[in-house]
Amino acid sequence: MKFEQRSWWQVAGIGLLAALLLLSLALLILTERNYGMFREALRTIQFEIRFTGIDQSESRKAHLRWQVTVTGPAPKVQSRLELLDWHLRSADQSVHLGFYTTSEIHVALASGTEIPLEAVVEGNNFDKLQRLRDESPNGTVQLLFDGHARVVFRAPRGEISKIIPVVGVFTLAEGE
Amino acid sequence: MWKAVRLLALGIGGGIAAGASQALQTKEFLLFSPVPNSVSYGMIFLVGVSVGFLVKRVQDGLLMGILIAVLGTATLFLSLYLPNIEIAASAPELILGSVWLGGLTIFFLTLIGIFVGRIFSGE
Repeated sequence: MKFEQRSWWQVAGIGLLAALLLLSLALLILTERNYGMFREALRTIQFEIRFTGIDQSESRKAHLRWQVTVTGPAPKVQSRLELLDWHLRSADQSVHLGFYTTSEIHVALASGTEIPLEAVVEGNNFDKLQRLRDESPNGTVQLLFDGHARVVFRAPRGEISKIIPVVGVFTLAEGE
Repeated sequence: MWKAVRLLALGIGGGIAAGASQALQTKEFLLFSPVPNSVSYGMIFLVGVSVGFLVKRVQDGLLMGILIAVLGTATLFLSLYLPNIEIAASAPELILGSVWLGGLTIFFLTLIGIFVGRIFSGE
């Protein structure tokens, strides 16, 4: 009787341990796969900046516009852009032309997603921009868009937010 | 000899299961695991219970607790290190912080499980 009882517990123990081993490994592989896709999305997601124009219809005020495009392969993890803020500087970073930000936005990110941006350069910053253009021998000025994007990735059990740099140099040509 | 092989096999199986379960709820993977924390802790505890069904003496239970904790910590380390090699190279403390805490969790939860398993099995 004692032998039978002990044998039953041993079978239960081995069965439970084998089931737990299989279950934990299957869950770990699934988790590693999800995490790997997130790491890959984080590594491959990039933003390209393209200057689209300047509108200077008002005095001491200029509207600068850019198109931000998501490049690289389509992220395998669902992600969205939540905030984008940037400093505008001269290309050599000696002159700071202001800090600009989008309000909280929710743009779903995929390869090729385009996000229009606009900054209103006015007051002292406008004067500095005008001075840069006046000092340039051919009237063209190279400016630096130095920004960060807050991207939110959707994980199986919550959301994870990461900051990704968005940097680009563009030229403000004479007469623009 | 046969008993040592049996205990070693149990330790390896239990250690991998406990380490993999612990990895599911460490901060690097927390949001990517399909199961909540409580399930991971429950699985480690059940590893202890299943081993408790299979060992007979207190010394064997303690030995299994240590063996499972050591092998579980190694499994946990590999689970976190392999997908984060570049992070581990620049900031190893991010991985090691989770590993030593995970090792302690595995050790104590497994020991409690072994104790409960031995009570259930009437030993």
